[in-house]
Amino acid sequence: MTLAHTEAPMSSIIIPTYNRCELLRQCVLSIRTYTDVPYEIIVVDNHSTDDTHQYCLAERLTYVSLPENKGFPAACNAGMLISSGDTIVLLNNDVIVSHYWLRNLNQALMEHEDVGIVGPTTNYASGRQQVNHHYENMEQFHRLTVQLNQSDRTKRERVQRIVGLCFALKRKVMNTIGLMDEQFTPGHYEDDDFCLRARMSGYGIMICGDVFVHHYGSHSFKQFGETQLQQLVQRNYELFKRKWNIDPHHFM
Amino acid sequence: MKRKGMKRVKFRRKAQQSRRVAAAVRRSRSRLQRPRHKKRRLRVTQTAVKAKQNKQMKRGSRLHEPSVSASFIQSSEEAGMRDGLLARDAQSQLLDLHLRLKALKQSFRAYYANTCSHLESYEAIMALGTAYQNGYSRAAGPDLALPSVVLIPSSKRHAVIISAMNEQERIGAVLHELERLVPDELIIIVNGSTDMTLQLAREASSAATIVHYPDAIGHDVGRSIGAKLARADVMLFTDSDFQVPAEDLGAFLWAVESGVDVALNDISPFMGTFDSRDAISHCKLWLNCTLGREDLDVNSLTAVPHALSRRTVDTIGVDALSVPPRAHALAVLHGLNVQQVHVVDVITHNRIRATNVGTHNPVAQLILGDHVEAIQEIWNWHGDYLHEPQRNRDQIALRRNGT
Repeated sequence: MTLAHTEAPMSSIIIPTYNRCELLRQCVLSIRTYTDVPYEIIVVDNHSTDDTHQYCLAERLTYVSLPENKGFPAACNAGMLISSGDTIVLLNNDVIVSHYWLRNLNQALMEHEDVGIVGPTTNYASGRQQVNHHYENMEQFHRLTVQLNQSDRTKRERVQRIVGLCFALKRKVMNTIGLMDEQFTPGHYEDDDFCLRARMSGYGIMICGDVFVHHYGSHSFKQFGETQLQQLVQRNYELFKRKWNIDPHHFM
Repeated sequence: MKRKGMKRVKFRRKAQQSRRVAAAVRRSRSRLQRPRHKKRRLRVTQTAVKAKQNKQMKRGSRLHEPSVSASFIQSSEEAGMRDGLLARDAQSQLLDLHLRLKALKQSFRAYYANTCSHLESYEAIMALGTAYQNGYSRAAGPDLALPSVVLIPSSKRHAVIISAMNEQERIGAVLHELERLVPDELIIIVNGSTDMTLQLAREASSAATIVHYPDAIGHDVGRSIGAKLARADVMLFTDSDFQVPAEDLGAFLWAVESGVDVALNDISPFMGTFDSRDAISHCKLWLNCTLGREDLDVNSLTAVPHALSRRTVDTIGVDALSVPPRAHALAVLHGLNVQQVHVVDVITHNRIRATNVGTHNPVAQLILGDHVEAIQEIWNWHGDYLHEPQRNRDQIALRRNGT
């Protein structure tokens, strides 16, 4: 089913979160300010101990409270299961979006029948999505993106994998290949795994050069210390190789 | 003189005879105008009395005396004692309560599977479970005391799903009772609540997944969202309005374990005779008759509690659960195993709200519309015959006019 006939596909934006309510606040504020197409926000709370749930109540957000910290993949899955949009956007809570972001992502998805997953460029990500733009604060960032985020088909390129920090997919991809693999809990390489499975089912993956988002970067995992983070990344790298017998670095 | 007299007698007899014949002819002719209802009423009264007796019996007996032999009860208690001693030695008081209850459930299941898996009635399971827990608590001692729970020996994942709207007074007690089922997943859909329901639910149940919608979405949609989230093989749906004892809820879980696809609540004991029932009950009965399931009477997925198998949810689709009568119709049409399995009184204490009193109240209208959708579904499957075999005019006349 092509989305081309849908005038304005509804998007379900799923934000897994664990403490750092101030980041979530900024993220949600940027979505509400800069999204001009139909959307719903689903916050999936990995048992935060701060005032995240009060914030979500006060802001009247659809909110899933998990009984314990189940990690990023499980939280994404809970949100994906109850989402009702034609497209699903997984968004880290430390990402700030800006002008025309969702409109352009949806456009990239709608244009091609086979494209299943699209993602933006950003200041901090592994792989080909990282681009360097100069700005010193968020005001400058938002001014910059007025130009950067002008819809431009030529800036969109096909790739083999994108990171999960801002991950837009068509519902039929989820219906075909299923959910995130929770063996990669608490996080890292579940996005590589999902992209590989999508490509194996014939779906294409694209980076939208005409969407630039700001990413504060690995805040959730940095809470636990650098070495622990390195260990986690290494462990999941091994898990991926054991699962597929492929080196995920090939696709970056 | 005698001859005249005899003639008179003869004549009188003939007259009597002809009167009798005339009366018989009149009777046979005017058979259609004969008040047949007189005869019928008599029959109805007799069956009504019997039906009332049956219903009172059903209503009264919750879980009647188990027919399990004392030796099995004894061995269950001993098994509980053995496992209780093991738990004490393993110092499991260090573990989380939730984990310990899970372990208890697993060890009971192991005992049941090895020893008495031929005992299949729910009453037997309850008796064995109670005996097992008695033995366990005696052997394990006061440090390892566990709350009394409903042990259902099962290798499948159980999920319990409820939706709640402004239930701050009741939600704690309801959740406490649901936890006694030791489910693998407990999903609460809090919607449209302006009170402390969400916070109280989170506090009351540490292992539950709670979905919060700021706007009211209704019980039916809430159930289908809960079903979407559940990754269980057996799903129990109940309301958050009032507390149903866990022992009663367990019967539904056990029914699905035993192979029933749709385990329904039997509310017919609380319904009067046909003439005293309301329009919605007539709709429910009619739907079941149309589906060829008069045996289900007024019971359907419209009432809670009910339990579904994973097979049911996958066959009819999660979205179908938003319109319970339609889900019910689909389940029967697909040939799934739909049974009424237990009696839980949800009628007597049904909370009176502004929306559910009066003849044309909004709740009744909603349910009526749902039944129209259900009939529509049957139409799509069977065409306008509604699965009635085609009859010729003689047969129709015979049925209408009676024999």
